[in-house]
Amino acid sequence: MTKLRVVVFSFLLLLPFGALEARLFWMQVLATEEFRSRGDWTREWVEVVPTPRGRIFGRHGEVLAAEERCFDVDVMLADFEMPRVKGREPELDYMKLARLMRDALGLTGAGAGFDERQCAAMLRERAYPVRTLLGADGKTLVVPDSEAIGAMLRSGGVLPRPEPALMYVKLVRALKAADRAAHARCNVPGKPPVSARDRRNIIRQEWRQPYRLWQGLSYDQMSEIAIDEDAFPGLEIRARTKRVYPAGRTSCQAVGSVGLMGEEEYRDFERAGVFRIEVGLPLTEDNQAFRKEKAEAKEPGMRRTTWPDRVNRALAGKISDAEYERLEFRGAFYGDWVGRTGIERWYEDVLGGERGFERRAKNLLTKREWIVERVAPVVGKDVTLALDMPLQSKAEELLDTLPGALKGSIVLMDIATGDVLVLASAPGYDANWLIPPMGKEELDALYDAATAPLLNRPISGRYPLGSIFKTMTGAAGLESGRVTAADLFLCRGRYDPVKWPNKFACHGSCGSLSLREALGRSCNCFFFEAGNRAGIESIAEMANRFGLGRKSGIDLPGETAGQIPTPAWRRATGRGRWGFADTLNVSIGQGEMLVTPLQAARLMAGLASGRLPVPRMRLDGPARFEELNLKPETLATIRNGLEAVTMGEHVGTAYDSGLRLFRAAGKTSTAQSDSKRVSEGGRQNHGWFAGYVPFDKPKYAFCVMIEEGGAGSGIPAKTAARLLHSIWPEVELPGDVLKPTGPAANDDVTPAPRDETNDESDSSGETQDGPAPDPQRSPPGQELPR
Amino acid sequence: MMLPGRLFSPSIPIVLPVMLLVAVGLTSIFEAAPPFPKFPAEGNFQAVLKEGGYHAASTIALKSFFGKQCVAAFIGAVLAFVVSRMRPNRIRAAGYSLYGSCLGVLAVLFVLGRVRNGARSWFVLGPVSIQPSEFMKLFFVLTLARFLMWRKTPDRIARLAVPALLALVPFAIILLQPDLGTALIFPAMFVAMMWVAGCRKRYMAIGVVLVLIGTPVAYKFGFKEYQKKRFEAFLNPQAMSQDAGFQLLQSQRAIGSGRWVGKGFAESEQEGTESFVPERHNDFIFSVIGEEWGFLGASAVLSLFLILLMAMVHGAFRARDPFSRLVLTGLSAGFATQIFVNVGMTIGLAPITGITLPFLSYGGSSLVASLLSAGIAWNVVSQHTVTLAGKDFQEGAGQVLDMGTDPWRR
Repeated sequence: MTKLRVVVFSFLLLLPFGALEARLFWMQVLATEEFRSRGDWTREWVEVVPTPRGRIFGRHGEVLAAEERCFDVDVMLADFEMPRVKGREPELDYMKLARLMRDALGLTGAGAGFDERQCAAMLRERAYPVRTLLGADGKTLVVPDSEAIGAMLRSGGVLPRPEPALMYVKLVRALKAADRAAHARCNVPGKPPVSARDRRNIIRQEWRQPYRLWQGLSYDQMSEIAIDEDAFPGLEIRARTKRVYPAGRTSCQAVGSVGLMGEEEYRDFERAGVFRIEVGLPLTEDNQAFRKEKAEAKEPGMRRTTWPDRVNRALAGKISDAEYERLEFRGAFYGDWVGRTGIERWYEDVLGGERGFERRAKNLLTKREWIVERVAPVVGKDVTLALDMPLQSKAEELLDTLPGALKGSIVLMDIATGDVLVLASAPGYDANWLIPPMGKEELDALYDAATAPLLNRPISGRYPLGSIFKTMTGAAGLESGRVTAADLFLCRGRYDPVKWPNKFACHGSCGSLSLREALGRSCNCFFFEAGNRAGIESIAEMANRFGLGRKSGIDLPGETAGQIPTPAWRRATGRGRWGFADTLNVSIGQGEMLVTPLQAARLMAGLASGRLPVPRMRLDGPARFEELNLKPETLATIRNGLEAVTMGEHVGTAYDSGLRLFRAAGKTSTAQSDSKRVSEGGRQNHGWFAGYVPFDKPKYAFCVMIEEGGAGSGIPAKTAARLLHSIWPEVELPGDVLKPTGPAANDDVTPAPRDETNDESDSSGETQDGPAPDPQRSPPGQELPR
Repeated sequence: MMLPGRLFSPSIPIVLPVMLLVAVGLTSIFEAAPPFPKFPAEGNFQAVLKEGGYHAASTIALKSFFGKQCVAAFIGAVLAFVVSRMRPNRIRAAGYSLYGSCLGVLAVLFVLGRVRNGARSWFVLGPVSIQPSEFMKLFFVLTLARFLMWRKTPDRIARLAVPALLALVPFAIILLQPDLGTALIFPAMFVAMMWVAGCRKRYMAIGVVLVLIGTPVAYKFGFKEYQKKRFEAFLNPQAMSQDAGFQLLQSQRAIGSGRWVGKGFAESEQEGTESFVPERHNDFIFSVIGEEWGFLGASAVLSLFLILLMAMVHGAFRARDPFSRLVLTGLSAGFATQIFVNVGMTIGLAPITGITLPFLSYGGSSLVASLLSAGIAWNVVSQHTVTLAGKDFQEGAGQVLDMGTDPWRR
């Protein structure tokens, strides 16, 4: 019986062993993954790995934008705090020091965010500053030159050496930021307030986070700090890249610049639903399409800002909700450089690359850190532009050397491909000014409302087109058959089919002329009549066909469509009824019409080749065109007129500009920009010249537009000639063309007579010898008229 | 299948597993000694590290842990061998006096004891520290076996009183130290021995019911805060991952990452990187084995334990006198409880209690006491072989021999 009991006992012993074995098998073989991931005292977190942006090149490989190594300095407040050395501190007037710093840095007033008391308390509590503030004898106080600090801060916030006083200010700011972050974490709306213990923990955590003290330091500046590392415990130096624009001012508006995506902007995007990281979900086509659609709604016509997509692709399906929130809280999603303007923005998705991420872990006990998982970033792709940099810089130089600080723009397009070879806008700026640390003076210059250097005038500037629009009126008349090439019209100096007193005037009595001569002389009366015959609808239709009043489709943000007024448009926008006078105004390119210089150049390309190229900035993909579907005779007649402008002796308004030497054809325009005439104190007229070259085998279309530049036959036409001279330098230009001239004194709404084009100018020209032109580029023809 | 006695003696499945287990234990301790002398149970351990030089300290600690354990193993082995050669009546005779004196020592512990891990259960004499409760288990088994040896079958409540008292006194004292884990072994051994001694089944059932009722009551009123936390952590370790459940989760993580064959000797990642199991050289030594040797290694260790226990149970089955049978039963029950609770807590089948794994965990007292127990088991098992080798004593001579000596035999 007892033996039986022993047997029972032995079975009772066997049972738990079975359980142990089963559990071990489950843990180690069947569900090992689950158990591997159970809780631990290691901390894991996710870091977004930044990637350098792609570079931007000019047509011939000139570097327009690149990445440069730079350094940021962060402080870990917890490490920065050092034990106080008792009994060795002299009595210091900390409040006085704090006030001194406040004044030195211009941080006065309530909004400056500088708390002297807090600063003084910080000075008092930390041993380090006192130590570094003491002079060599250990008694005297070394107070840095306040003016020098202020100047250095204003010049960009970068010091060659972290001066103690500035250090304090930066530290105070870091402390405040840490406090703010801790406060925000403690008081999450909609959640109960945290306990005192948690609050302490949160503050301690924040003090273990890096806070930025300096950014964008060069290697030399960084090494100043790194050498002195012992004096600044708790500082962390991080390397990154920053954007530099080696070309500086050249093509600054076209290339654009990058900026830091701030939290507010990030929230805006988020609210608009532009992106929302679907944590744990793979990035499906649906998700992408949805986001793209939302982005489109926010910025119609723009390539979406794809920065969030870049992050998404790396993170999707790999991080948890909590990790995402933590990343978001730490600002990992908005401390990124995104393209703001120009090419940088348009090709954000190409240039930006894809960010990687790292899941890092740290053993809190041994403090060893290692990478658990890593998705490598994808470096942004380079973008090569169609811009011809020697020509571009020449064009900008031409604009910059205009007398009287005139503003303007130059566009030069390749007719065969639509390549934008020159897209110059004056005044310009140095693109590097927009990369922090920024200087105050530079920023003031950038945001000067009077000059607006940030405006990319060729695509964003809208001006009345003036006489260049006469080609449209003529084309509309010819195309509809209401005007023919042989029609003669007698201009008696004014156009009065109805008895209006002298309102619709020409710039003199042109006599009897055909369409060719009318274009050559830019006769208003002829085109009043032509417009009257063609009718506003057919004129507007023709303008639309030539790309006026709609976007050209250039790959740059901020393009404006301009506007071509029609009766329907006036009704729709509540501007009243359309009248007979409005048609006449439109016929000569005045009135409510607004056109960009790029559109004017494109119009010339269309007239020259019979099809409208879509301008492109990036050398990528096939050239695109819009067919005009015009009668050949129409085009031939208009071209004939445009040739007369530059080559018709005694006829052409731009005969003396030298453009005929390049066998260029084109049209001058002097557009009234004010309701008052110049002679009555109104604003100076806008001067235009748009054309193509050479006239028989058109290769380039161009447009020079000078804001308030006077007659189109003056500065614009001559500037165009000088620009062409840099393409074909073997052509000898007359000396008066090579000299820069002031605005022609012209007070009429119409192009000036020929004899006014040679205006005296006292600015002696040191111009014209720009960069050597490309030897590959052949002159327009062998038989150049000399 | 019976082998000839010279080739196969019943002592082999006791001695061999014990030797192997001690060897495994020593290697694991050599490798798993903590990187710093002491893991603070609470508070900021960073502060401890900041005291400085813990790398140097860890080297010394490692040497000292391993060295101490080697010394203990040597002493234990000598004692076990000596005990195994002793005449059985000497062992029988020593029971009461050892029990009594050990009770006295336990009582003195309340005054002179040193507190470790919250329990006042150590005597510290210079470099040597002794935990008397480990020995008390063995002495209790000897005493109870001797008490029950010539008594009548405990088939009445009154006859349960003295055995129950024998168990209750050391149980209570150790519980008050407080060392719940060690204390719990006494009831286990008591129940097993009473069962084999022929206690009525209804008393056993009553006992089970009492335990079922008593545990919640004890949890409510008797448990200390940390014990409650440990129990909660056992039920839901993830919820208390930074607190009481940490050890549990870390241990499960370490064992779970062992897979089939483990990471190999000294390849444990615990020390530096992925995981860290506090007390892993001590109560959580099994997590080291599970991580480094995987499922196969851990199963091998468990198999060694199983062989040992089955050899002891087999000895009890074959024993010709009630003392031997009871001693083997009690010792195997004690070992089994320790193994199940200890291994169970490292793999999440039992709550954390301060209980050692016999032969493996670091701890001189534990190792010496375990070896001593094994020595006694060896002694008892070899008695049969010496006296009855080669005979079919179960059915023949054994029965004749038992006639006058075993009053319980029916």
